[in-house]
Amino acid sequence: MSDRPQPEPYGAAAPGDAPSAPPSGLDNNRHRRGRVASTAALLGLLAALAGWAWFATENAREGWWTFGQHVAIGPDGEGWASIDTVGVALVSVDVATEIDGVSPPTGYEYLVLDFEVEATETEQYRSCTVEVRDAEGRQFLAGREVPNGDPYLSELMCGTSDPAEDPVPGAQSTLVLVPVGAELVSVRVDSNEFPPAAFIELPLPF
Amino acid sequence: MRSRRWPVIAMIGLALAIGAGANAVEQNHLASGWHTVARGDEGGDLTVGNLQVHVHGAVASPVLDDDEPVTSPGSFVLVDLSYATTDSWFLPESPVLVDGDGREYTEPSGFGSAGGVWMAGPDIWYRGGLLFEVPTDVVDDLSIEFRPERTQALLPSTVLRVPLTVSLSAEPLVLGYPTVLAEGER
Repeated sequence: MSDRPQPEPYGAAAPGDAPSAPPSGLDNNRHRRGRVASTAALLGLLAALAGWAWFATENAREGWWTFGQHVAIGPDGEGWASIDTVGVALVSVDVATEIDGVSPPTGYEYLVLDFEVEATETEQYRSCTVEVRDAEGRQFLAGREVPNGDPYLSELMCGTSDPAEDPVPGAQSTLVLVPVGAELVSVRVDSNEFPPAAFIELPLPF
Repeated sequence: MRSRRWPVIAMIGLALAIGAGANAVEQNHLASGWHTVARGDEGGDLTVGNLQVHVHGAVASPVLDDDEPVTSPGSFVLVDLSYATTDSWFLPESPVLVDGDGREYTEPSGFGSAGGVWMAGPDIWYRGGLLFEVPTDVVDDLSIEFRPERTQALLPSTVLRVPLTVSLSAEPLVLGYPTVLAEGER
């Protein structure tokens, strides 16, 4: 410890002083102003950091929302789920072990999904992907490693630029390769043209 | 004085700590891209991110049968492997070969889609070959590195590196398209 006189803590009495008088009004004001300034500076710092973090993560946040599936649109009482210009209903689901003489790899089977589709888009062609989701969260894409050809589509037709010559078919079917024994939960219909984060989810009747 | 000083010191300390943390993240993760390297071996099922892989081996030859024989100034390497995903169908990032000095080799161009990456499904395995071209003197010291899908490019990632056992062949390598495997096969 140094013998040099030390500065007294703010508002404290020096040893040997006469008993200190209550803090004056001037001291109280200075003390309050100091505390207010410190609090304001801290809030300013935190606000600046929060703003920096918000702008720094802008792309990640927008990408997560825009390209993710976060808002599921389920079917109404009649089985129809609609987003934007597209309405879809799941009419029937069947399991097949052979389609047109083609069998799936051992341990897998084909899921045959029949839909009804209504689309009011008449300006441009649109397609919708179809995925079957199981209880483990796996998503099996329609049209992959399945026989091609009528009447099965890899993607649903969800809009047309020529409604007279090339209308959107009301009945459409897809095939999905799924593992035998998978606990299938729902069918997801999605499109790049849907509003961000929104997709159609239709429960499977298993 | 002390009671007025500590908030200032605390704020300066906080600002410096956050700045140093952000700098460390930027330097170690964002600037260098892929960060953590997991190791695996041939002949077993390995998982990195949403990719499941099984490396069978590799063969090297100076000649590739691409309709007509093509001779490399180095060596062509065809890696025999199977892969699937854990969650959904997707096309993985192209793996690279890495030699003992850390040099990376990607798929050579000009040989069509056979020999390149293919789409795989959730627990739906395909087996095929990935083609590379490397200097002949590094053939016995190669690893294949898998770089799984990064859902957030700003976040650090893990890559999987598997040392290769490369057998040498004088016969031309033949490319083929991958085939889907029966359940349980690799």
